Amino acid sequence: MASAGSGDEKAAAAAMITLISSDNEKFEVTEATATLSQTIRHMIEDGCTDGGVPLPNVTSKILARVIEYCKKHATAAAGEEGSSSSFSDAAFLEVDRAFLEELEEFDDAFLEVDRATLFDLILAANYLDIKGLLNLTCQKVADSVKGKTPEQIREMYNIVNDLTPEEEAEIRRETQWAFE
Amino acid sequence: MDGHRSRKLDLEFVDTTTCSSRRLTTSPGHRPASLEDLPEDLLHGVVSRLTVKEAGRTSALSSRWRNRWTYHLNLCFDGTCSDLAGYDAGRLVDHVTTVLQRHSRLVVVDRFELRSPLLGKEHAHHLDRWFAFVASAKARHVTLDLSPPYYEHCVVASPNKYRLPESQLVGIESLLLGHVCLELPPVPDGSQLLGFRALKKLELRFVADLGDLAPFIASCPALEWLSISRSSISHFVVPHQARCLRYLRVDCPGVESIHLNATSLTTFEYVGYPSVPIKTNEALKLSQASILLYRFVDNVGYFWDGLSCCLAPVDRLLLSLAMDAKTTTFTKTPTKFIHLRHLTLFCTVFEDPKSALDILRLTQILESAPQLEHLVLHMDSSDPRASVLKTRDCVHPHVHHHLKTVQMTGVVGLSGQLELAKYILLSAHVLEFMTLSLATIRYRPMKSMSDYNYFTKLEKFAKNYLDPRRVYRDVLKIVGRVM
Repeated sequence: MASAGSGDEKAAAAAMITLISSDNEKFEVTEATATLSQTIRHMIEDGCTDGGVPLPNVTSKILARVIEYCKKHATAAAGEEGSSSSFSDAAFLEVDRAFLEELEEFDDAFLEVDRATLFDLILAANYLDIKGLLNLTCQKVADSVKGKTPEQIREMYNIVNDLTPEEEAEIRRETQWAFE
Repeated sequence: MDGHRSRKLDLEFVDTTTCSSRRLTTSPGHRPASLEDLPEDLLHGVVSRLTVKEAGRTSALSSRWRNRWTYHLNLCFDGTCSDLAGYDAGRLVDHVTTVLQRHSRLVVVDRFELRSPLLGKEHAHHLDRWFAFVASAKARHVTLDLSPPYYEHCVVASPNKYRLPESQLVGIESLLLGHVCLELPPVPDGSQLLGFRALKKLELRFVADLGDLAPFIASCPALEWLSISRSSISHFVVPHQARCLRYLRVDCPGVESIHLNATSLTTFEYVGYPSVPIKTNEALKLSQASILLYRFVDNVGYFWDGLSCCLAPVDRLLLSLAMDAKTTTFTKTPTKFIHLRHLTLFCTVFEDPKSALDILRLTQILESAPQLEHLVLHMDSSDPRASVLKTRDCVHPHVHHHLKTVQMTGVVGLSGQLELAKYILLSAHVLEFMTLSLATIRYRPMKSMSDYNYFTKLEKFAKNYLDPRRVYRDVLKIVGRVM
């Protein structure tokens, strides 16, 4: 994979792609950045990116953030994308720790957003099919739920409890193992 | 040309008309204010990032959450972690059974993991049923690890191990098995096993009854990563059909021979006896290797004669050697490591060598690696100090043009250690830094008062010997006493 396409990728590195947000703002990004999105990658492969890529589901505010993420991660992408992504070769051999730490710090800072923005980012990551960003944002939501009682979670995410006390008691009985 | 884009947009249209939550997000101006405005599949994604138990707790949030947890995609039951801490075997079985019974039949599970030292052969019918679930849920990543918590038990074959139904393993992408029996089906000559075509990653720990792995590996054309540790295997052959295999780790004390016919391998890790013949195909071009040899006997000879050929192309090498205090012969025809740039060497010296030449045998590795840039050398000894501090100049330095950084630990003053350091100082013409830690043996710092006096003396001695005129003061750093 990586070896087969590396020549092409190098040539394409200079190519720019224009992304157009729902509110008609245009963003110029390198192909390497844009192709972190599988959706855009497929469009490029199909040759339908001339005149820009309209993204009617993504506002300029969110698209700017998404691009910020992609730019940062594009350099790391070469290693991440192939089918072998989850198999780290020889963990004992020097990994570029400083770089990974920096990336982690970036991710942490990147997630310092209000809830509505976080949800928008999830939707954008899903629509654009950016695995890393989707994973990051969904994990953030999951982490926020961890260790919380149902009451706390409802309050945190405005979830209306439509269960009668009897129903809730029944649910707690049928999933008793979760509350032990 | 435009087909793809319009297809994508059509999909969005379908979504917006069928899914009320999606509509909110497609029309600008509306933003998902609540978690519940996210599409259902994304909520399943969030739920799947919780542990199964945490996910189960969301059932009490509201009616829409009641069954959401049953779409959990990462069914991990780890009896060794806090979530299920204190569960005995019976409770663990009940827990897993209850969760799997309620689990939605509509989703393709991404991961199924079960780790517990409490389960074994006596729970076979439960394990069989769970594996039937794994097969019907088409789980892609599967772990069944019944290993006891401590690594000491080297018993490999055990009649008490759970015997895995191999027919249920079809379609899996990555598989980890620990402390089970796996009887691979016999393969008639020339034919292939079906069902393992997707397998990319396989890890076997303490797996018994493996038999001949070669035909099985030949039936896994996609296999990229293979690790076999402490499993019952005597002659291990990687067949040439394993065309995608890039990573291989073998750590099986019982193995008698290793034959690598796969030429795609780039990383090889071996832990074992320094007597096992390792044969490789000539076309094999390893780029990284880790060779940890048991330290019972002097194995420098085995390294040169039995291993160095297949390691010749590596760029990075991690190697453990053991040296007795008697062998001082140098190998006659050292292999050239023409690409080696990073070398990490663990070196055990059995006692204070009689001759400096014993340790100076290591200079041969440096001379055989003309491109070496970074050397890390951890030395350890059963005799963690020298009886007499003395040095001699005995090896003529060979000019090294690339060695930039050197770190040595465990330089406790044994004969040959300081000579080796001096040899490196004199030979490496572009050395940027060299650190010698005298009192730090990698795994055990020494702290007693007598050690303090000894290492104070050694530090002074080393400084006077290595750099009496302080010409290397910008390069050489000697760390003596332990604070």
